[in-house]
Order: sequence, then C-alpha cells, then structure tokens
Amino acid sequence: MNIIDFLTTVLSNAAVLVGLISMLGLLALKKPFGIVLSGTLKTIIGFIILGAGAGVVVNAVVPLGDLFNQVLNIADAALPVNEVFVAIAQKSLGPQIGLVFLFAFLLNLVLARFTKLKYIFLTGHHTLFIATLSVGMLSVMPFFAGNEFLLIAIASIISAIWMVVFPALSAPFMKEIIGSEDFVMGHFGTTNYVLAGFLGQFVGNKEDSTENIKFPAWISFMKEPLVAMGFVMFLIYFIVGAIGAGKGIDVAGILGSYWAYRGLLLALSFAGGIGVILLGVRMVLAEVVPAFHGIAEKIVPDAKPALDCPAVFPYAPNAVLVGYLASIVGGLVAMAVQIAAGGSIGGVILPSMIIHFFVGGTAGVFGNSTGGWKGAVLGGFLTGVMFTLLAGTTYSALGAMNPEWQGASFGDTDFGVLGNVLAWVGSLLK
Amino acid sequence: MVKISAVCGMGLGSGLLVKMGIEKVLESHGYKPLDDFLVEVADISTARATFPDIFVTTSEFAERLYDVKAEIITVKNLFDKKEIEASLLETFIKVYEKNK
Repeated sequence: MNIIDFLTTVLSNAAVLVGLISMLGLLALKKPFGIVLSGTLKTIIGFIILGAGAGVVVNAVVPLGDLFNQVLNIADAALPVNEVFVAIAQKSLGPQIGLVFLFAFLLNLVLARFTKLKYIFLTGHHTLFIATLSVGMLSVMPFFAGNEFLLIAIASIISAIWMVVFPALSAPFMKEIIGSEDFVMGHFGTTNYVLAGFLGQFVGNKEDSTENIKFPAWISFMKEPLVAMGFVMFLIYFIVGAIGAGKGIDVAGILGSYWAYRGLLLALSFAGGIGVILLGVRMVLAEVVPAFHGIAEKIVPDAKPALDCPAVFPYAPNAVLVGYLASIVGGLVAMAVQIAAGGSIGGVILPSMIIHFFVGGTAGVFGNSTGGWKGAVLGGFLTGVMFTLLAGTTYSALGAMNPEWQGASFGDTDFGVLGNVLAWVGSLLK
Repeated sequence: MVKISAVCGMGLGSGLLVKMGIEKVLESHGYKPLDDFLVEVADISTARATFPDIFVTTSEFAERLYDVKAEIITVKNLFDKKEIEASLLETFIKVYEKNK
C-alpha cells in the first residue's frame, strides 16, 4: 500500500477533510472523547447530506431552464442560491474549498490580532460561500492552472480580507441600530446595508419609522424561507408555463401532463432540496463554528464578533418586511432589464426569496435607522436591483468557463462585487 | 432532560449563536449538556417538527411558531448572554424540575 497515495485519497474528500478540521477544533478545546468522535462524524455526514440535497434541487430546476429556453428564448437563466452553488462546486473543488475555509478563518484571527480591524467573522455559512466563490473564480483563470498552492493562498487572503473589511464598514451603522457596540454585521450583503444606511438620511426621517406600520397577519408566512421559496417558484413555473401555453408551445411536453400541477410539485421539490442542503450545512456548522469561536476567544479576547444578519431583525421587524418586499420589486425590475438586454449584461437572474428576505430585509433595517420607512424602501429596492445585476455578470463569468455550474450563481451583493472584480482581474491576466 | 430548539430563519447563523449562548449560560449554572439539557438549531420552516420543551427565538419568528405545546422564549440581542439568562433560566428550571 502506498501511504502517500492513500493520504491524498483521504484528504481529497472534502467531507473527510472538513471532518478532520472539526476534530482538530474540538481537540483544541479539550472536549471529551465522545463529543470529539460524534462531532467529527456529524460533520462528515452533514457534507454527504449537502451533496444529496444538491441533487434534488438540480433535478427540480432543470425543467425550468428548458421552459425558459423554449418559451422566452432565454438560454442563460440562473437562481442565485449560494447553498446550491456550494453543493455543486464541492464535487470538483471540495478539498480546495475546505482548506480555504480553514485558512481564511486562521488569517481572520491574525488580522484581528495584529491590525485595527478587530472583528471575528462568525457567520460560518458565509465563510464557506466566500471560500467557494474565490476558489471557483480563481480556478477558471489560466494563471492559476497547475498551481494549487498559490490558488489556495490567494483565495484565503481574499476571503479573510472580506471577512474583516465588511464588518468594519457596518460598524458605525450598527451602533445606531442596536444602541451598543456589542457586535457588528458579519453578512455579505454589507455593500447594500451601508448604502441603505447612508442614503436613508437623504430621503427620509428616522422618526418616521417602519415600526409604526401595522401589517396584515397573513403576510407573515413569507418570513419562512422554504415556504416563500416554494410559493414563488410555483408562480414562476405557472407564469412562464401560461405564457408558453398562450403561444401554443407544448408545455406539457416539457413539464409533463397537467403541467401546472407538475410545476407545483417541481417548485415544492426545489424547496425540499433546499431544506436538505440546509440540514447538511447546519450539521457541519454546528460543529465547526463553536470550535472556531472557542479558539478565537483565546487568541483575540478583545475582538468584536461579526454576526449573521438576523441579529438585527429584532431591532426593527417591520423594516425587515418592508425591505424584503421592496427588494423583490427591485429584483423584478432588474430581471426585466436583463431580459430586455438579451445577454449583453450577463445572465437572467430569477428571484431568490432567500436573498431578498435576508439581504433586502437587513438593508431595510439599516435604511430605517437613518431614513425611516422611506429609507427602508430605498435600501430594499436598491438591494434587489444591485444583487440581481451583479449576480448576472458573475454568473456569466462562472458559467461560461465551467459548464458544470450552469444554472447556479451567488446572490448576496458582496459576492457579486467580488465576482465582478475577479472576473475583471481574470480578463487582464489572460 | 430539557430539550431546547434555537430557531432562526435558515437555522445556520443566528440560531447557532443562540445555541452557543444557551449552552454557556446553562453550563455556568452547573447543568450538564446531554445529561440535563440538549440544544438543537432549527430553521423556522421545520422548527415545529422538532418537538422541544422550549423554543428560543426572536419576536420576528415567534409568531410563526403557532399551535405548539412548548414554551416560547424570545430574545432581542442574540449575543447577549445576560439577556438569554434573564429570559430563559426561570422557564428552564421550571421545565427541568417537571421533567425530572
């Protein structure tokens, strides 16, 4: 038996690699044997569940691609759901992503320890996304071909910089929103959050707050991402199907007989697949994040945590809903522009309720904190417009170079910013 | 043993922070994980099917946890262990004594 070959085989499996990272973290925190063992195994199982969920999602969106293609003549339509892209990219770039995930965290500790940017980025799934996006974008550049070491190093540096710079940008606004300096924003929609907070002061008055509005109770079902996602996916299937039927296209030939009912099942399968992926990601993070956090507390005790965006939701729950709805409108406007442009400004980005809710909703909270409900509307609307347009060009850059990635893209605004910057750099390096 | 679900929108980020906070608070009061309590993270869409003794979430999502038998605790600052302690501990001890 060749030991080197065996080790390479083991470590080139992303699930096992990240399982080992969990194990190191749990050992460093001196957890009892039983917890180290179960934590390691659960991380690996979580990764396997993640891959299985990706299969369900892909099967549910393939017919939608055909439908768009034949009914609207759009060959390049994508749903920006980060989790799906991660699950697909795991197949070809899993070990690189796993290592960047680890090194980005370690570099974050170094930056927090030795620079003024004393933030520890604790949103594990966004660390995983930024690692995946940087590895994905760099891997298609001929410059990095055959140089794995350089690719992992550069991707880790980019990710770590993103993990301290964006929380730092959010800090002045966060103080206004939560009334303390307990934590900052650790979520990659921050370009829009800062913009919403900045522009809010020019369009409205913060005394005119969203929290004075009374919303009807039925609308709260839209706050459940899986339900909202399934519901809106069905509307997309139904509207495009109806247009096709109106044009005399054989929609049943694409979706199956009773096409509207098939569309409903596909939409709900899509939401089900997202649910499976979430379970997988949750199992991985539940082991890795507490370990990272424990290590960070020991190395940089004076650092501030950068937290996931729902941490600000309780401070202005109505602003979340206002920003969410405004973001959907902005996204639809941007999608119409993408369709009209016929591919000259990137792929067509379909409405992803996950991004609209979390990024649009958070932009609503930031906008409300400086400009009341008008600030929340503007912040949400700009979120929808900007992430949709940025994801469109990122998608073209990714999809054009790796056909495996057709149909999936990154959503949140800061990923779009990074994707476009890297695509531009990539075009210079050619 | 008391089973607690920490609930947020997707069950990835903020729910996990609440879970870590709850574990720290309960351990600081001498309760042991697995023996005395178990904290799980759940997303809002599947949370009602986790059947815990206590849900901990924010007001944003509490309204979606309708028709559940479990106690529902809401917190505002997810990272504030003092707030978690103030809002959770009394209910936890009540359920803990009942389940004993």
